[in-house]
Amino acid sequence: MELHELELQNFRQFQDDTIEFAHGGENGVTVVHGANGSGKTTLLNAFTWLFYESVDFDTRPNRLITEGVVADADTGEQFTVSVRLEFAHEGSEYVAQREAIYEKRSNTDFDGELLDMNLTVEENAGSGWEGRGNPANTLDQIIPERLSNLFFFDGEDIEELAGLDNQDRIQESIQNIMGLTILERATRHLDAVAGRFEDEVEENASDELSALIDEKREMEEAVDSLERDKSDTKRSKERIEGEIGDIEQKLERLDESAALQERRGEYEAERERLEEQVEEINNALRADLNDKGFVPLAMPLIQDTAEDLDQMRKDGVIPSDLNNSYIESLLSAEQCICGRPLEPGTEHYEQIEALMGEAIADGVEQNAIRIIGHLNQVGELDSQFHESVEDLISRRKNLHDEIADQNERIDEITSELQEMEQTTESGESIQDLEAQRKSKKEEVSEHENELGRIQERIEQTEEEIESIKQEIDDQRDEREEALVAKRRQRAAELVQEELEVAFEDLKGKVRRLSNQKIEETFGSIASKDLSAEVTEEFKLKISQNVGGNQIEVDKSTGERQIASLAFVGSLVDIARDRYESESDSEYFTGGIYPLVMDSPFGALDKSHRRMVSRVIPTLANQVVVFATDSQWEGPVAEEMMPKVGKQYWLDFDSGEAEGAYPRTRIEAEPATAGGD
Amino acid sequence: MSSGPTSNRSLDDADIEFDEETLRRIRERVLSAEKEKLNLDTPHGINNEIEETIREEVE
Repeated sequence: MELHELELQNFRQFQDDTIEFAHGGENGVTVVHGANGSGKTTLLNAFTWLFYESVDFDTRPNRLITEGVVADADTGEQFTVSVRLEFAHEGSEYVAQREAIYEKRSNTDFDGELLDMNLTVEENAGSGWEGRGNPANTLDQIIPERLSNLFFFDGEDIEELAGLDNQDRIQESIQNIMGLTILERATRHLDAVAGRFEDEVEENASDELSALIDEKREMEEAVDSLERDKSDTKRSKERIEGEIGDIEQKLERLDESAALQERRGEYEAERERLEEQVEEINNALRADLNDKGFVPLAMPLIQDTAEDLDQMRKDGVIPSDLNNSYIESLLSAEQCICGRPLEPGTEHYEQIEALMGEAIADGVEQNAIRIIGHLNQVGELDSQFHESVEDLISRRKNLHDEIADQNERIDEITSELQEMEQTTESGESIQDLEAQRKSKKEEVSEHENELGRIQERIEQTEEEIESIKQEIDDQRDEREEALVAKRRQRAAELVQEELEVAFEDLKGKVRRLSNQKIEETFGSIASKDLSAEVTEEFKLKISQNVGGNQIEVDKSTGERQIASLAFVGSLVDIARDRYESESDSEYFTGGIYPLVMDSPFGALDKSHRRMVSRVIPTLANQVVVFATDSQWEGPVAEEMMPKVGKQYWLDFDSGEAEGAYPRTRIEAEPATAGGD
Repeated sequence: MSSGPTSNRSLDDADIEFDEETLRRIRERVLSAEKEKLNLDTPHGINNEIEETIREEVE
């Protein structure tokens, strides 16, 4: 999407104004300068009103029409509020216009009453202008409302976007823009449809089959319910862990407890590392037992066999001297080993004669020796297995000892902290905080146990489902309806399985891609010891390197705000890359999006403003920035000016004179000295 | 349009086979329907559309 021109009529303080946006080429930045209260946020709202009929005003939220226009009119007079936008999208030109008709109802009516609202979208794909049948849907497909706050970005929302509690929006945005939502929804809906076809199978099936399907469904419902419990428990555990994190941050901020808390954090990190090593050893033990665990059990039998075989070879029971002289003795005795006569000239005689040579003697001898050799090798395998297991167990014991040492150190610090009586600014003592921490740690541990129990039940029920599925598969049915329904159910399941694999695959790719992009963008803006990461759950995590440990940074810090801007910019950039790339994907086509940002630099300090303004224009083809003079002057202007294609100034008249009303004109030149 | 092996009376998943083309068509039609409704929080009627698609493709 590329914005071309915005035209406003009687929209709040804009009576008849137009903005042409810079687009194409190197200078894709449009700046709208305006003091606080002059109408910058109103311009942002003009976009959201046109696209989604949605506005968010701090003052007089219900008044859309220009105040002076209604005030000066006679009762019964009608007025039109209109926002018109010309833009281009995927090779077509568009004109979208929303109009609202208002009527003045009385002398004291300054808001007017809404009579009618109309939205039109016209498209020119190269063969002339045509109206779109479903204009709201057309606009929503170009920029979905759920993503609108990323592209029509309010600087005041940055706290919200950056907040740790608002991660769902970030998750949803990434998934939506990257095509994951389509796949996730498609698999969910195919599952529901497969269920409908299964209903049909059940309706048309034999009683026995119907009972089996019923049973399977009950179990599937039980698994669903367990999965819900699991996810609730997990969420609750994460919430408590977050609270523990908050307590630990409080302890780190208090001079008396800071050093102790930091040390405890280090010990806990070390303990976690040791526990991971124990887990690796456990995995190695399991693998050893799986691969070679049979050896010790079979060893006595193998040893006996090797010894017996060798003894038999030595005793000549295995004919180790089956050689030419032995065959000659048979031929001269004219009797075969099987007792049949061997008369010269007969076929049997010739067969035995033909056996003369070294191969047989060598073959039998060699094979016997080779088997004995193999059996002895198993013996070596047994020794290796014992050595490897003993080594792993000894290493595990050492690690357990080290973990016990860390636990002791952690306990000592905990005891010290539990005795401290100093208090935080909010009046909580270190003792209290420690007590809360301890109780929350216990809760986390209970949750972990509960998660283990739930997981076990899920696995058990899933095994039972598999066994019932096998029973269903073994059924046969003569009724055509049941067979067709079953085939349709299977088709839905197969496509669902295929899309699930595609989802997981794309999810991995998207995570890598967004991580790489956010890391790059954030890395070029933020301090060196900070890093931004999109987690496996698609949450934005900002960490700081403190003494070699990665610690998640506090809420509402400048760094989180920068990260949010970096995140928005990165998404737009990834979508653009995807759109421009030649790779063919059915569900991830990307797109070109503009960034319309109201006061994006307001909350940042000067050095960060400079870096953000350097990066943002490189991420989107088109950027529209609304800023006060104080936000713009200095580093932002220095960085962005070379990219600016158009500038406008909001000339605001507060309408304090007799008979005057608030009004803003959009000027191409600065009228008077601007300000905040 | 495709159909499974009609002479086979088995309900065993392993015995039910489809050609790649049928599954590809279903997949494309499902994704296209989802894309159409991606902008909606609750894509009403999507399950009916998918069900109809599969009925048409598997007879």
